[in-house]
Amino acid sequence: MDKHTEPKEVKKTDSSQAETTNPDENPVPETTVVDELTKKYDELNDKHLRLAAEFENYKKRAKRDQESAVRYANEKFALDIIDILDNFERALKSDDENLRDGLEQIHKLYLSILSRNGIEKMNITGTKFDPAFHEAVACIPADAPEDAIIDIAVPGYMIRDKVLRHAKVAVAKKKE
Amino acid sequence: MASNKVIGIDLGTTNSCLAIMEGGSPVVIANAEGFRTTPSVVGFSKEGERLVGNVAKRQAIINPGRTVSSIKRYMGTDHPTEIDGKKYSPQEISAMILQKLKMDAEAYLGEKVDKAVITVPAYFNDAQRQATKDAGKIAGLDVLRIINEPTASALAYGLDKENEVTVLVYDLGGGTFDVSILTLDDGLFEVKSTAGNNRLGGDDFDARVVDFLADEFKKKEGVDLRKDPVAHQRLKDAAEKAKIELSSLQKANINLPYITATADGPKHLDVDLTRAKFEQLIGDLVQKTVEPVKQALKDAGISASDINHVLLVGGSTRVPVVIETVRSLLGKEPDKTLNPDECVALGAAVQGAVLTGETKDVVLLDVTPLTLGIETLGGIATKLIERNTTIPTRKSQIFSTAADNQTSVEIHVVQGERQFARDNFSLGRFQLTGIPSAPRGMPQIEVTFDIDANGIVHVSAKDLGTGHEQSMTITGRKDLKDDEIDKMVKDAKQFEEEDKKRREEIELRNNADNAVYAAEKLVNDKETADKIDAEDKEKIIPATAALKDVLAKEDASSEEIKEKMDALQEVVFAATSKMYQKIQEEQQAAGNAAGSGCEGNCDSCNSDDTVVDADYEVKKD
Repeated sequence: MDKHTEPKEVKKTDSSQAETTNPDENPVPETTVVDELTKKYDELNDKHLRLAAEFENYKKRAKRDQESAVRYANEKFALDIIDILDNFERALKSDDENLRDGLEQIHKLYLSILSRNGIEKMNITGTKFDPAFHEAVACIPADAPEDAIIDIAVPGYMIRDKVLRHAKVAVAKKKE
Repeated sequence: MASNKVIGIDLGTTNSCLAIMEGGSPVVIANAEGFRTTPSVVGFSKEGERLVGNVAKRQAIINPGRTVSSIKRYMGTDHPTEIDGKKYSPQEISAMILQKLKMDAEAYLGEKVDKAVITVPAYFNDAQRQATKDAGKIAGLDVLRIINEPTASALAYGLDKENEVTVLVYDLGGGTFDVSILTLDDGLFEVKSTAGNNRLGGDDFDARVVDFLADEFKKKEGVDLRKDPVAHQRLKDAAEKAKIELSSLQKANINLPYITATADGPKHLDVDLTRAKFEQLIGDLVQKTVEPVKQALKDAGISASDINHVLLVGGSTRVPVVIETVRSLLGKEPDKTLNPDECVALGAAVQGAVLTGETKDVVLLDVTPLTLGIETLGGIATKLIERNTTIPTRKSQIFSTAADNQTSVEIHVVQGERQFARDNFSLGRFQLTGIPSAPRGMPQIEVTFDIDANGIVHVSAKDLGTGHEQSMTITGRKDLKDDEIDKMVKDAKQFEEEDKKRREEIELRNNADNAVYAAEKLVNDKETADKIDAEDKEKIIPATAALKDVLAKEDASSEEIKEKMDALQEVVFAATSKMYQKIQEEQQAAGNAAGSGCEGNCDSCNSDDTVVDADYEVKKD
């Protein structure tokens, strides 16, 4: 069936094209065509301009939304952090003997809050220097294998699969 | 197939930046690591792997022999860099940076990129420009044009659209300082003079802060933190952070717990650095930029008063004392609306789009300079189209009547940022008549603002009940002058608090008025009157009268109105909750008797009749 109908349709369009290209057969007053096309053009142009303007306005809105989303995300994390501060203030009121215990408790809480937000400390002691994760801040002659990390100036952190902060480390250099 | 897009590259001495034209405006593309600038550093690992950007910078200290930075200083020379026995020309090293940027652009766009515009300092000679072009070629880029960095900044600020302007570009980066004077003639920028200091920048500011902190600590604790690499690094990081903080705050706290330990135990560093102290620390460095500016003016044969625009470029121009120095030196407020780290790359992207004709296809659309709205109850200007909305645009909102049996509404169109109609510009007014008599708040009148591409505003109001429509066209908005717009925006900010207070008072009055209306309806309407306890009715009537009396006084305070309104609402709530309870009980009784529940459409549970919307204005969206 399909095979039969297809060529028929092609023929049809061919003949209709021939019709419209022949002005004698189907005379249309020129002014009406121009008027019609002008009207159509104006309509389409207006639509086009409105779409372009809407895109601009959308960009402005998206920017605003993004800014407020960022602020909101900050607020959520800030609330978690304030929790730690509360506990520090409690610790400051406590006496010296229990202070260390309290600090350890807060430290544990801190790590768990970070972990909840996808933040984990890099475990790098004894690993080899890798600039993808570490930043070398010193190069010290040592008895360790070359490029081994021998000291951590600032620990590194990952946020999910991305490096949040590169660990700043001292790296071993061959003794001469 | 490669993209038609042209990337704009600011190939800097310390950092590079990449931008592209998107939707008619230039945007910076972040690198694969998510940073908007990339250090111009190339390294080779011991395994022979090539490292570019942040990753190369992080390993520089342990791999100095195989790390190259500031290669830009050698462009145009045959200074070779030898690594593992292989010699690299400056072009080849630069090409590695460009290649990385190209890859970042391709990752962002999702298609190949092979065309670029690269910027160079205005003072670069032909050999240096050719070397830069060659570097692009090696990186697989067709460099459509090499343009001057100050020219790129001027393009980013759109100054090419002005006629015959003179521009001074003050570019203070991490390690270099350049000043250039440009003139625009017939749409083309010409560099009139350049001067600078290629060993001066923000890194020197940081070093001053580090020294100050270390000296103070040494005085107090007797330990030189600069001798301990770990402590030194922490100091450097803290110094940079403090410098950035001091651009917006008057004081920065530098707090480094456990920075070192002495025989007495652990030591902490806790210092407040004021902006004044910081400015004192870097004062002579900032002063070093003054002479080159004067030299550039002299070489261009002009005086400071001939400058039309002063552009601030480079991250260090965020430091307030730098801005102040430029301002007082040139007697002109510098332009600093664009990110100074990014504007050179943005300008390169603009140039790229001009070269490919992309900018020709961009439809230039206007924005509304001021907010458009209508006057609503109490003289409040209700916004429909906010300022800076791109036109053509259209917005509708549904309003209602403020009084019972109101058969016409007046649409008063106002323009401006103030919260009251009378403080804004009046653009015109018209009446929509023939609204059928109805309780207030019931009729729905749709007001539509439509601004066409020519800025002509069509305002129409349609009664959705009858389909009646009235409209007007406002054309006389072209005469709005820039200073009028500025004044309006400034006034709106200045009077924001005052207007807000006044607006709240009026809104309170409107709400109180609604409360009186609802209470009177409750006790007088046949539907509800019998359902209310006589006892409650006796409380509501005087409370209503009391609120009405207060509202009749022009000078009634907000507290007075609020007190009486709360009192009225309390008795009304008591009455209505009893009423609903009664209705519910009746329904239950009826339900039990008839054995079937109410379907929710009988008179007694049709709550619309008894609850009057407290807001006279019904918002659709």
